[in-house]
Amino acid sequence: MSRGSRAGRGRSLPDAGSGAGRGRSRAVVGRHPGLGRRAVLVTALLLAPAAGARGQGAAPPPEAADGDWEVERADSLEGGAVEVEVGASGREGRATRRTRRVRFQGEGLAGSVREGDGDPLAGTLFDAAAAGGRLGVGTFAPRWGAGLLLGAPAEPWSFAADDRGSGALRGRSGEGLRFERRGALAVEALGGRFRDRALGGARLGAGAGALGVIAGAGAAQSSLALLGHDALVEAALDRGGAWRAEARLRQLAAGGALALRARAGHDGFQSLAEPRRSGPARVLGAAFERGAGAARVLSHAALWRWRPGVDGARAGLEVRWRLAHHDALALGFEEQRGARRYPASALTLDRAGRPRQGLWGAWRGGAAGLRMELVHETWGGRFARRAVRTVSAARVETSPHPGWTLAVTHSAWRVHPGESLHLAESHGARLVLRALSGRGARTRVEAGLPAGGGRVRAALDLTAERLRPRPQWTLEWTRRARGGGERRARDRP
Amino acid sequence: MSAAWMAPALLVALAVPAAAQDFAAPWPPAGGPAALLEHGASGADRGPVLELLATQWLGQPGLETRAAAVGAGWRSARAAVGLSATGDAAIGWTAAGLAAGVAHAAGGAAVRVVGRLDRAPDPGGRRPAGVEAGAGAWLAAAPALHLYAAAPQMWADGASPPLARGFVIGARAAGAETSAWLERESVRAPAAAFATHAAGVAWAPAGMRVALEARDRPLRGAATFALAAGPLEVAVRVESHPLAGETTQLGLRMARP
Repeated sequence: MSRGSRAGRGRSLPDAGSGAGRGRSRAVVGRHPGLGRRAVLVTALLLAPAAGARGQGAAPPPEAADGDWEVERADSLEGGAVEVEVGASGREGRATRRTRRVRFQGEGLAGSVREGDGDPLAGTLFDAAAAGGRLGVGTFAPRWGAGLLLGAPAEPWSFAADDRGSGALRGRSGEGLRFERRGALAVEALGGRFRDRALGGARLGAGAGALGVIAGAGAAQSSLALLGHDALVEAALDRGGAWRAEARLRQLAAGGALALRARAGHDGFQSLAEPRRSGPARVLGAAFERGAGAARVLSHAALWRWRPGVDGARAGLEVRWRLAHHDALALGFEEQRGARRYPASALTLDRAGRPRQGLWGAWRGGAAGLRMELVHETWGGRFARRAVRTVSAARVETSPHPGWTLAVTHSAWRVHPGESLHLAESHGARLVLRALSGRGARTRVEAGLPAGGGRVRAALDLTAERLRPRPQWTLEWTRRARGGGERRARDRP
Repeated sequence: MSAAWMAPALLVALAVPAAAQDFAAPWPPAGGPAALLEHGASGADRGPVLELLATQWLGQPGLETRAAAVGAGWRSARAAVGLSATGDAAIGWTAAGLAAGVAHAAGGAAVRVVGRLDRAPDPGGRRPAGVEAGAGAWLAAAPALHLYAAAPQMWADGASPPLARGFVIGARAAGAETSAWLERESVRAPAAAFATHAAGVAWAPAGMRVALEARDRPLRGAATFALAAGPLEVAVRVESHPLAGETTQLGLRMARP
């Protein structure tokens, strides 16, 4: 069974200040509220910087290689700012890895250069105003419509991908040139390499409609999307006649927000740019969210079919309470069955076909001087009594001095052979999904303090799959400063 | 018998949540120097406290632990030191512990370090030594509800400790005279294949305390009885075991109000 093929969702607590889940008037289509894949990644984001653990169990996208997976947060700099980051990390038996990053945001020009020894996020991105739009050079991860050609969600039950388009994470689907101009006649053109394939594409949008084409090396695909305020329809076609179509709808219902999703098409249709994100040929999904006083109820259900005889389903319910003093409690249940990824073998299919249930709870509380979060999650058959994956985590965070932070996160897990587990961890601007297996425990000690006009962040990780832990360390210094152009503009009378 | 050599016996019999070893005390781990050393549980009491402890494991003569722990606090800071001896000169070891942390009315956290030295040399003539370090924390989730977590062996080096202790999360609800708690210890390789759970209730009218506990895998129970007079408190705890003998713990606590 391939790693990650049945890893579960991440769990999180509502963040009082994050605003997650708010401001969704335009969200149906492009960015559905916090369920499905979005929930996984939002979870990771909420959890990682503030708590962790919570960590518990986000999963890398299907195109990711086995092992740890890293992605960059899509945070932005204010105008006229420059940010420099220098870091190093190491672990027992490996050479020290040094990383460097420079980012700047100027008037009409922005850029980011990241390099380092074996840094999976190394790369360059420049973005400049050009021809009434923005021209970008470097890595990109756009999302077109429902994602049938570009920017599909990573999981069959998800409504949107947070590492595509304007999501919370800066993913990488291709590298090359990209031009985008918005307006009455929206234009987007791109060209570059998508994994091992050279592709070019263009998309024109006018009013509620958008027509896009992607082509390369004797293959071409097109898509037509209609985008309404609360609805989206996209249909895609390739040169061989294989097609897919997806419709999404969002409505207020029963005092809450209801989102629906349906997909149909040929089993053999695959996105040229992101074949591993093509997802199942047929999907039916629904998500419902409703607030009731201090509680928020989130539920979802999805059915999908990869090909005849290979299908899957999941349904879940989570209740989140906001307690006094920004404390929070979340309790959830989910049932899964079938294959979440396209099954690579009969063994995988057999394992995936067994139903399982997941139960989880998370609590966060405390005051500014001492905050604590506890998370427990268990998955298995017979209402999780036959546990195949169990994770517990606690995080304690304190601020002994203004500007200083000290946090300790400890996680313990037990994962059966053939199962997978990824713990979400925040490493400055990057989010790391740490691949773990078997039985073990991991302790992460993080400290942050101001230094040299910037901020130093140090972390020590101890992973013990037996008693003796394997240490890993990280040290980063980040400084953000305003550029001269901004000062001049500010100083003007 | 070295600490590592003794491990199988302890693992079989003492695979319990929040398993304690060198500074095992009959009181629930809700404060006191032994709890600080053993679980990283920092209590609200600041006054100097001395605890003298004795444990006979499984009713086995020779498998005994004797320990002394001293704790004190200043403002919100807490610290404790302790010495412990387990077994005899041929098969035992000596342990020294140090713990420090903070505690106030709404929460606390502490780190602990315990080092062990076998009394008998190994075939090479050296006395095996080992060290472990961990931490614990608790917070008041509500006026009468405390949630806690402890990872007493975040890091270990040298000779293996006698018990592989897992990650514990738990909840304790306390009223004026009664309290109840529930906790879960995650599996810790190579200790056991399953997580374990414990639950208990306590009744503490003036001058005395009675507690009953139940633990699973295997299912068993324990009873604690304590009497207090002025600055002194004496406690005894007896834990049954379906596969082995009874474990008896005695404790004497002297606290300056």
